[in-house]
Amino acid sequence: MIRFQLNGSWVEESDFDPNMTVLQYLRQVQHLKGSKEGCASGDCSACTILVGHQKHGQIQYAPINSCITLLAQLNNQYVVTIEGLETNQTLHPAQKAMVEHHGSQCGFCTPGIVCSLAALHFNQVKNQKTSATTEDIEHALAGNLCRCTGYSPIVKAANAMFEYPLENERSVLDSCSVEVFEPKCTQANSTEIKQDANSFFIPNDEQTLKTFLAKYPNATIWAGGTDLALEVTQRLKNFECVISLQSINSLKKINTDENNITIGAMCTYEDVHSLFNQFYPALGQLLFKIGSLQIRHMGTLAGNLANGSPIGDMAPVLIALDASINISSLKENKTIKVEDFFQGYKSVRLNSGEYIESISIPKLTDQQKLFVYKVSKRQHDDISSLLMACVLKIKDETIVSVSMAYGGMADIPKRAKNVELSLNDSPLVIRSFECASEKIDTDFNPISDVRSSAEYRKQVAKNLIIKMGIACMEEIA
Amino acid sequence: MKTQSSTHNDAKLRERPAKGLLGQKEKHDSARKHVTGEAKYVDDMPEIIGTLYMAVGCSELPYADILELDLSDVTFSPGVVDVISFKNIPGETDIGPVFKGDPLFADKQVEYVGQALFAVVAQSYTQAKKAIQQAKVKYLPLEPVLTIEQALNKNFHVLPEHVMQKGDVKNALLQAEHIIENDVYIKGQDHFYLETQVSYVVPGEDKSMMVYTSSQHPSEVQKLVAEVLDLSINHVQVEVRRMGGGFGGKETQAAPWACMAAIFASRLKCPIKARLDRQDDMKMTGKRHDFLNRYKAGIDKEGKILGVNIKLAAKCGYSPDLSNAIVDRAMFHSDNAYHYPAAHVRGIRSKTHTVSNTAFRGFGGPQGMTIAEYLIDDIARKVQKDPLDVRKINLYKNGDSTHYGQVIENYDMLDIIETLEQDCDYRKRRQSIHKFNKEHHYIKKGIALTPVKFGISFTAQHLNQAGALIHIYTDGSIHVNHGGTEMGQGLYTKVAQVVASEFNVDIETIQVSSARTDKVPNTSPTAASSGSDLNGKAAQNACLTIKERLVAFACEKFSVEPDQVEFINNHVQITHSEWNKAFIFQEFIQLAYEHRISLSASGYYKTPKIFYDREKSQGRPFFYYALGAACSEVVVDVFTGEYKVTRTDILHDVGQSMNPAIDIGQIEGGFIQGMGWLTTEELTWDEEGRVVSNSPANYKIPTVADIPEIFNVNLFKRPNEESTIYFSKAVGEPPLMLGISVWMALRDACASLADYQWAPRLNTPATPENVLFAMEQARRYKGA
Repeated sequence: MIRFQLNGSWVEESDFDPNMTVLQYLRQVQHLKGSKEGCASGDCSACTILVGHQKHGQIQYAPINSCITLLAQLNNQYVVTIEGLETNQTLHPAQKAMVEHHGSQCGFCTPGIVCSLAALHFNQVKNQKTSATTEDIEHALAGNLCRCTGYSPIVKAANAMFEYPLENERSVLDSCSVEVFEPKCTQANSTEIKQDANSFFIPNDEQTLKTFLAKYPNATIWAGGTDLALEVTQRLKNFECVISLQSINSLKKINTDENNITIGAMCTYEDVHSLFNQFYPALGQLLFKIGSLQIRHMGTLAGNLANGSPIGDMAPVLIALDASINISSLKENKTIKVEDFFQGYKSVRLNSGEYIESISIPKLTDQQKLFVYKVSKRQHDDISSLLMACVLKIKDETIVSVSMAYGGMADIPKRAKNVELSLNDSPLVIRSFECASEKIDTDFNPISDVRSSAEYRKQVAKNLIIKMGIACMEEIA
Repeated sequence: MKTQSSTHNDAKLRERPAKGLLGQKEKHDSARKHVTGEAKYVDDMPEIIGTLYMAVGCSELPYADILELDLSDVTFSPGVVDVISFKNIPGETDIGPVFKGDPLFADKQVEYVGQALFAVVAQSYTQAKKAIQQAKVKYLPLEPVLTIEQALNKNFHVLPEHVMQKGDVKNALLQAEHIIENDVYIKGQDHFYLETQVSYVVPGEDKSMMVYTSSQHPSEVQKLVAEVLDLSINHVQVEVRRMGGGFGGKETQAAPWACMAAIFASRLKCPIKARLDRQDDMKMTGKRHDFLNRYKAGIDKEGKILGVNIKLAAKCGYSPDLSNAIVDRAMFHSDNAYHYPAAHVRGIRSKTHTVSNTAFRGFGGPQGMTIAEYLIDDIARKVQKDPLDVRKINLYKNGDSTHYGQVIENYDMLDIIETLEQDCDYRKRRQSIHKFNKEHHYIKKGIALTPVKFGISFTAQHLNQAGALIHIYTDGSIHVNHGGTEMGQGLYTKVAQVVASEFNVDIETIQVSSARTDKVPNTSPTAASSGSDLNGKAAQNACLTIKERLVAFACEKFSVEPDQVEFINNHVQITHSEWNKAFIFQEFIQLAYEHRISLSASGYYKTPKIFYDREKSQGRPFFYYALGAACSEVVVDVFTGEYKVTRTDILHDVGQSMNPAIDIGQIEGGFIQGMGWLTTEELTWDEEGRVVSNSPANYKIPTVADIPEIFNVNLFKRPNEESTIYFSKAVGEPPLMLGISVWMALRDACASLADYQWAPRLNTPATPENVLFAMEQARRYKGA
């Protein structure tokens, strides 16, 4: 059985197909039709809802895509949909601002936009802020597609909603935080959902997880599920056995020591965002382009790696940073370099019974600089045509070590070994980078696909090396 | 003279102007429902018990004979209730809107990947979708034609080509100082309305069908459903409350799913929900046409065009659909804002084994305009002038005639361009951009100011008509219905404003209801930007009919003349020579009712002045032109071709705005959609004829982060010289073409790498990839 709060009331569900998405549940079971299906793939965010969880005795709300979240993932969460925002005929400031500023035309994307704005409003207010910057607004809305307005009036509404007095905000968002302390609300034990031949296990500690994995070696491990859920919604796959990591607190930890930052497998992109901004600024910047805020609240670094995609954006960066993956099972614990994790297209070195426990990333030294360039058709919320990540170690105007990897250039995320060789021990002058860029042809033979042609990939892969060289020299100067 | 005023409050009430009249920034009538999630779209309607869900099985090959269609496993798939294919269509099998050629289900041959072969209904949508996969189809593959180039080589088209001609081009080219020629490929565009195609069909008594659909053309859905079921039209009623976006994609493309669902509903006597998921929608429905455009022009040494040959070849897909009118409109707009003293414009309707392309905001006009702007840009490089100056010297002047014989009148374009040029500081910015580009090797900037002249009216003359129905109830509340559909453009709001203004009552008095074929019959599609022009006028005419009756009644009752009766501030004011009386509108209506005055009327409107002889390609197809101009500035990364629009300024002509908030919304939204078409939105097809850009994961419409950093939009405030509804101008489509300024600014940035001596090819969409390679070309040109 799972239990969650829906617009202020506790709901229990036990008899449902574990493959059911939250959006299907809201629309078909609860008849809450305000959340819309625009794509069922997490790309348009017309289905955005707010999901809260307890943290430090308060509820933290985040916008997520209900179309690619499974109902079972809501266990112990606090869900607010578009229907829960208006209270006693009083519009939420986000709603009021959208009306006042003509922020809706056809209105189909509007519930999702309003939920994204409500999340922004909630989090800004919680952080004692009385407004949002242009960047805050852009990041809050970058995943919400609108085909009618051209976004200008929505941005105006996003700014204006902070001008409305707070007492108007008496929505479920507030009442939830009052009820949060009721002890009966959440459940601490492992749980499972079964219907027909389908099972969804939610272990609550790693020991139980290991036992489950040993018992069900063919089970699918579910973290954020932002890619796996597409198998259900786009390719009609039926997952018979899923083991979800959602309730294992030990996998949500982030440990920082002198040399490494270790990130638990259930940490989402947003969980690590501020940390990355601090320790790996180029990676922090990349996260803004890695997916919408909705995706970054669900998606995990570990999931991105385990997925084995050649265009997953985390892999090349983590390879360049020389990160390692800590893998566990009932039998053993082991560590493997991210670089060695990928063995072929969508194929990774993770045996049945094993799971990713955490990822360890070495901290950068003063002499090391990280560069990350993601190139895509659209600036935000797009899959990379290619991505280059590189750590350069510079000493006395000389490049003393290079660690460089690309995504989108081969069937796996891969190091540019010949480029590295060429750059190693070279003087920090533009000529070094120009020479090195020519080596791309010996390192990669990319393909043409919907995102770009092979020629473009090759050309840009070379150009990025020069671009990095210029940026590096400017930084040093 | 004495005034009969009961209380002080009444007097105050009489002085308060009615709310929400024309010219006010009235909010969208559904705004509050949009933001609370209460606004119901077809998929949100409460479902009747017993509703079944439909999915469509389609061709996997672009061109093939069907040897066998074995659906037995589909039938026995879990949850399946019924399966239909070509042989189960009771009536007409072809649902082509103007020309035949669109079979509801393919019979012996398929002509595109995604063409419907059969449909299934099941207890759930997922069951229906899973059942589809159980079909066994045996094909005999045939050699497909997949591109315009292949079609041109094989002389393969859906309809014959058409020519518009003016003057002697051959002679003009002989007289010319320079002759230039070029071609450009303009890719199509997916509508990407947020709400995919959907219909809900409920069977009724006497074989009747009630169809709830998301369609811009309820009357056509009605007619086609009736034909497919072999019923007379009056057995089928269609209701459209609202669409989650249309953009032309629901003009003809909404009908097939409604027709299929109606066949099931008729067979099974139960309601059917037919909704396409996003991938099916992107695979099975038509898009904006690709065009391969070519010009050869003679110009004088100043850069003035003397004559031009233009060839426009459209990728129509497998069937005519609306392509004839679309290519005609492309031809009509191949001049954009410029005078061609001599012109020969040829429009080719290429047939390809791909989905049949269809209406999309601008209806071919945008693709036609691109060749004019490309030509102007090339001229500017040739004669070494600022492209804006070349644009200006080539603008039409009043009295000039187009290549289809329409005389240009009331042409404010130069005024619009020069006002914008001043307001956005074009000259100074142009200079500073040149300086910047000289000083920066890795970042380049570009700027362009481009005009739009867009002809308003359906070119199919009979479509330029509309009807409306108005009832006033005894409490003074007013119900309005008209033939237009609401897809977000604010039509219902504008029509409500018309009615409120006619009776001078608060807009809250007015309730506009869903478009329904049993209220207003034989409607035209809500398309061609005509929605408020046509339906606003029809509603106004209905108001005038009722007002005439009310005034006549007042004259008789109070012995006054018509000019002594006035509708003002929610009142009817009678100004007798000896007394004044102001009735509250409701009181007056009640009085009229008691005196047996009819309070219901239909209104009708047809556009005057227009005519067109297609045989001769001469006439006045357009009632008037909507004008506008945009100036965009971009910054480009030389290493990757990635770019950002840093600033856009727009001055657009909506005549006398009926609702400035809605009009500006249309302009901003249209511009961004046009920019998306020309920049990041790339339709991609593989060699087997499959759409690869089949989801938002690989088809990229603009996000909030793509809008210009500085974005100024202003209305050119001049009432329409033609007698349109309150002297406004249509605004739906024209702003889309303002997006051309971004494409031209990108080409300008690329040309900077050739010191502006030459502009490289920049096919659209100008993705970072196309921009990068254009910059390489420019660099090579300079090096050569």
